[in-house]
Amino acid sequence: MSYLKVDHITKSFGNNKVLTDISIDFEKGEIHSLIGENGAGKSTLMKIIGGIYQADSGQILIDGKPANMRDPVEAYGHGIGIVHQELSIAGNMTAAQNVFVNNEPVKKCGFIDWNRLYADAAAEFEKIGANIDPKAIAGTLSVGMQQMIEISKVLSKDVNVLILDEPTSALSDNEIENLFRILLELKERGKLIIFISHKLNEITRISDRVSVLRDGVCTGTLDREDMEVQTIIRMMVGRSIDALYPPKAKRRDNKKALTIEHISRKGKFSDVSFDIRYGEITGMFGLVGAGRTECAFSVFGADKMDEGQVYLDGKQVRFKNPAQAIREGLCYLSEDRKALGLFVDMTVKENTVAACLKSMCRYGEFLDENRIRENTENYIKELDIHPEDCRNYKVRNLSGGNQQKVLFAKWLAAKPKILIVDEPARGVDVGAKTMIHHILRQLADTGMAVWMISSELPEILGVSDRVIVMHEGHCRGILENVGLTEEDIMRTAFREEVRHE
Amino acid sequence: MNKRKGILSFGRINFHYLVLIVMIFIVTAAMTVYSPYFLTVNNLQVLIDTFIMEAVMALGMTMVIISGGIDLTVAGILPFSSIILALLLMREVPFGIAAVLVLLAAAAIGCLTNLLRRSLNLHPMVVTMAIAAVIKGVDLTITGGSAVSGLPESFTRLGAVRILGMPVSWIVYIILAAVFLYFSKNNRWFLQVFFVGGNEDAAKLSGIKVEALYRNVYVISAVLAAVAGILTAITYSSASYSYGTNADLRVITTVAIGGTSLTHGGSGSIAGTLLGTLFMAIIYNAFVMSGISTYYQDVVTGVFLIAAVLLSEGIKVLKERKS
Repeated sequence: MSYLKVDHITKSFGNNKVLTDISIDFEKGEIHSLIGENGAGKSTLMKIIGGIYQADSGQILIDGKPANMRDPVEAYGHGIGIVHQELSIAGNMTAAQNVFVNNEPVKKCGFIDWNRLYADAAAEFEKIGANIDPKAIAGTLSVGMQQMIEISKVLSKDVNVLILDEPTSALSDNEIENLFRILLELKERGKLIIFISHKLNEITRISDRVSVLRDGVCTGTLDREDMEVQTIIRMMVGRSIDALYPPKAKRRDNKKALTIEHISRKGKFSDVSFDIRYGEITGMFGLVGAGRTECAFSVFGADKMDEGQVYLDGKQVRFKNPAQAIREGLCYLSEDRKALGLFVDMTVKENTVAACLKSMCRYGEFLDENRIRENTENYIKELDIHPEDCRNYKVRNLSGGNQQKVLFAKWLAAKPKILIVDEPARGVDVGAKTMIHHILRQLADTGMAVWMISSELPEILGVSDRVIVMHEGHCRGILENVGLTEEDIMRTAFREEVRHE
Repeated sequence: MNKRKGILSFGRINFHYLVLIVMIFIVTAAMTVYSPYFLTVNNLQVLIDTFIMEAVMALGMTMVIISGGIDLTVAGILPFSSIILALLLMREVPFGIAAVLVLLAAAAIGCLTNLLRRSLNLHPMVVTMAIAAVIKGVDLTITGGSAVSGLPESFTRLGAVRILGMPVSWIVYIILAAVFLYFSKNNRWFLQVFFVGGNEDAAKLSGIKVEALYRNVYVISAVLAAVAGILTAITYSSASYSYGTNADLRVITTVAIGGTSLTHGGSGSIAGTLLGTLFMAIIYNAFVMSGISTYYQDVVTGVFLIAAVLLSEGIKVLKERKS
């Protein structure tokens, strides 16, 4: 009988089915890993176990008894604690205060017992062998230390199940070693550790069992003996591509638009070289943290670049700000359309001219209302933005797919020669997604160079002519998309790991 | 998707403007009934004269607030400009040159505001509050706390000049308001202020030079405060550290009543500020007329500030609920 049992869990957000009939058994005293592509449903499943989300159907069993958890506090009551991917440290408070946040030891009359607070925190740190001064200000500690504080915070509530969501993504090698040592110790003490990651080498190293999620379905659980990188990759990606994707480039003259040589940015990516060509779509694949967006940011002038050269049409360039890049015909469509792309409280009309205001002016600095309206109407028609009369609508009131099209309109209006699109179809419905992919192909066919960043393998394979594979800040290979499979790409991404096996 | 139609939008008229216009009518009607003197030429002149400095500064403040910031230096710059102008004039500097020097000094203060905001990464509230305190201290130190009077006759005559029957300050305000209103609808730079206030990161990635824009916004606000200072000196033929006390509060309230959001940038309008200016001017005048102590003015200003924020946020919440 397993300790924690996930039993036929299904979960949807709106029409988007995130988890389908998931059943996994977890035992005490094991490190059980969950792996899957971005969007496979790992975090959602953990949030259901942690009481943050509620399943639409199915149940969680603890020791054979159904556990009904409506919020994280109730999950704690059942002995389940989560350390989230984004740490929730109060940077201005001491390490000890962070450990016992909202759980402070008190004296009579409700005053905080400071001596006990610091003594207890020191004891908690001692337990996991973390060398942290309880009185240190949390914000001044390293990310690894802050994570230890988070782990102490969860363990101080006497949990039996510790869930860690992508715990290593921000840690240095030493910190990762230290974390693994702590996890193995906790396992020895009989705790259940659920470890979420997309780093195969870490998973194969420390887990006793691994469960693989793909598109919200659990494709199987492997025991330690069967844990082979190749098997896991196949379980992660084994699916066929439907015919929703546009045709490939008709003619390719290999004329280089951007040539990028040995560019590096400390802590983000290093020694990356590739080129982007006119008339084709170059896909750039990488999982979260692979350094794809960072790379595009540096080329676009939104972030600095430490080393390396960038050539645009054979001429060396180094953009200091996006304005310079846009002037030279290089545009960047952000993956985060709400935070970095659109002005959601402004109208569709205003949004579509945000990146091309100069070209909308007459008499110097005065906007030509007619030209702006014409521009907006054109793109509403061309990109089929709904509703048709949305010119004066606030962008906030449009659906996700239509917002994404407005973002496309904003950048197309800037008349780019080279267009970087970062997760161009994220968070939109299938119809809009297909449409966006066809738009990208049309743009490439008219001679534009398209650099498409994506972490979705089907999208990469379905749309791109060539694929750049990024992993952990390095370019691991550039592949021609001829007979390419998802496994080929994954194997290229995990090349180093496979070699070390 | 016909979310725009409904009780909260009357065709193309902004609901907020409508509320303001109705309130202006109500107060005007009530005051006319209360006092036959209210709607006389004499009183309307007083009404405008008492609020014209705030009216000038509200134009610049609107831009600052739309960009997502706030400028508390204006209440310091106004008396500072009048004092510097007066001192220059008394040293027989011609008015034109003195005025230009004062405006340049104000522009420098605006640049300093932005420089501190940017390099120390401080909230503009903190930076401008500190700078305002320093300027007020300088005002007091220079004047020793007393008014500067005895300005050259060539200058004091300006206060009596009438163009089309209007004093210089009115003319200046009418020109400024017209330019701001026109620019706010058509000018590329003005639209960029909205973009930056609405989403600074997206604006940066859209190729807008965000830092230069912030600097310009604070310079404009400071220069308009200096214009108000010069106009004050012309109107009263003197200069004093006490001019414009609490003007910052009145100016910000005016802008907020006009529907420019204090809580998040990117929304607001010059047209709204003009309506807000009219409303506030009438309210202050109504106070004087009805014999309520002017001591209560700040109380009322505070109440209106909260009411304005509630109104604009309330409309927003209602709209969101509907959609």
